Amino acid sequence: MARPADGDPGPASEVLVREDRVHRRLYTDAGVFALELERIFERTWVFVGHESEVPQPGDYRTTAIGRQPVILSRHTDGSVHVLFNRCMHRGAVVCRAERGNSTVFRCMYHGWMYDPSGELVGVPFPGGYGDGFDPAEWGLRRVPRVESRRGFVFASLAPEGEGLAEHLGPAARYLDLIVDAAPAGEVVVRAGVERYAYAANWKLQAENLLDGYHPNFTHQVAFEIAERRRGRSGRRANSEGSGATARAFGRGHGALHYGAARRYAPDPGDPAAAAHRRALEERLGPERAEEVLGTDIQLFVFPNLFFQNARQHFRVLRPVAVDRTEVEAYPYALSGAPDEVNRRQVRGLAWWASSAAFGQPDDLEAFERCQAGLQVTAADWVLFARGLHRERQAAGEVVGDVTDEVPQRGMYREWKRLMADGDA
Amino acid sequence: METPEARSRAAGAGGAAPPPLLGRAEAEEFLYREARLLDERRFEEWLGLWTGGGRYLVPGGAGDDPGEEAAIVDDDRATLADRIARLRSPAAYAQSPPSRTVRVVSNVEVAAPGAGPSADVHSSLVIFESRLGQTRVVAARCLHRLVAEAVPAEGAGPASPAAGGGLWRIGLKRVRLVDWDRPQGNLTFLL
Repeated sequence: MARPADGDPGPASEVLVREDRVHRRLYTDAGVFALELERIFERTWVFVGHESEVPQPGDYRTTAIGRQPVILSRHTDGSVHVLFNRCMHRGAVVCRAERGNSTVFRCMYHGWMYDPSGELVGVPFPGGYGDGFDPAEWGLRRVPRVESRRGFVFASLAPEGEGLAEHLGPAARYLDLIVDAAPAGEVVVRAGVERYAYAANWKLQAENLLDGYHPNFTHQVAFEIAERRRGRSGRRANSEGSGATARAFGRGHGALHYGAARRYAPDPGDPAAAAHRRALEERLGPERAEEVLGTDIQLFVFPNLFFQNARQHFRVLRPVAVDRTEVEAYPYALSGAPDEVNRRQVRGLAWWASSAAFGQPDDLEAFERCQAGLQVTAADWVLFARGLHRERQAAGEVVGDVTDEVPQRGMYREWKRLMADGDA
Repeated sequence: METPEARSRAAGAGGAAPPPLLGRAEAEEFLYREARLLDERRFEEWLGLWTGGGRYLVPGGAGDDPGEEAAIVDDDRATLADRIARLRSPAAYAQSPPSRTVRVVSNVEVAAPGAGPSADVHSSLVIFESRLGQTRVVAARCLHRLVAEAVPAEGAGPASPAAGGGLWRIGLKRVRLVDWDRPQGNLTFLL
């Protein structure tokens, strides 16, 4: 690994990451953070947005890949583009709004105009550039590689490398399982977003999303309240030996798969749930419908995308600084499912995942306490050894008990691989 | 916005004696009391200000329908009671230690929602929140839909002629944050 940018002769990545532990500097060192943006977020496949966020020609939304502002846009011919949000004249972002519809991005500074595919379509007083000026050379720069799966658009700033399908590996199968819960075979992202921020490193959230060890402790109060409301309690799925599993897929991706320990089982008298099941059985057959509806899974697609199908949402991580992270949680609608099914899920998200919710804020408290504790220099290591002795290989996945730190070890193997790539 | 004065004139035009209306001073007293109960962490008394069908909404978008657009808070009365139980637990770590708050309620205006013994009260809310050595400012526009209810028990609050000799209760409280479109920090204290 190159030396951290702050000039501190930091240790190399192979020293910072071991099989069962990572160095505290992964969370506290601004030089490491700058290098993560360059070698992880601005190189590997990252999630940008969903095609249903830009359904009509001219629709756009702005976001960022690492530090770099980009536009996800739909051209008049229906094609989807990921463009760098940077005027080719003097560098201003050409689009400030978070989302909207326009068939032209017009820079406010000198009026250069681009169409939704990035082509330069207008320059005021073009004679001033002489005869040799070719507008075709001055379109908005396009992100080198863009691919999508089930409407989820990923982009990579690396001009070459493995394709998205290869990169996703087994994660693609789980993504399919999540989207297949929609009777029409696609999800729609149109129900707003929960946005939250915390004062700690982005990887604390990434680790936590597939951490089946913490819920019984961090979320004890939330579980007690939910169990009291439901009038039942019992063995929680996030308990050692519950049968639920933690998995790593390679490339940093992983999942918590609750198997028989926790299955989606709506009230049999619930007409909306019954209609959803019938519609799904019609499309997929009873067996696959049962698999899709019954499987409770949390999926992390390294480095910035997370799904929880039981709460019908996905989250997007945005690293802002070594000690600041923003997260967006998007409910998605299952196309073809009864409105009632989708509306319930949108409303349920406020209970768990908002900044005022019963669940997720206690995680953020943990992250900020970690960020504070990791300032201690007398202890270097953050331990991810749990279950290392009992994990097993199965069909291209590493599988362990739900409370084991299998996905975190997988994530840091990929972190190390990406961070070392580029060292002289 | 229909003012109480306009409403009085409209009611008076029919010839019948106009019912007494919720005036600004009484609305302010209600909101100040609510603010004081929250700042003093008298949550159980605060819960007593609500109707049984009360809804507490902090929208996460520009709209008002939490089924269409994810909300930050979307509580019915039972969930509010859960929220207070949570705030009382030392294991609700995002509020352990708890936030200290001082809230300023201002720009109070009373508007009528239409039919029935209820009134919409609009206000501006600024909360200074201090926790773990940091003080934040949370700003919002609030709507309180107050509903007149019969006096249920002694000591539940001052009876109001404008509430038909009963009590004003909160049927809906909507808190629209000025920065609802930005990532929020810890909002687990009550707004």
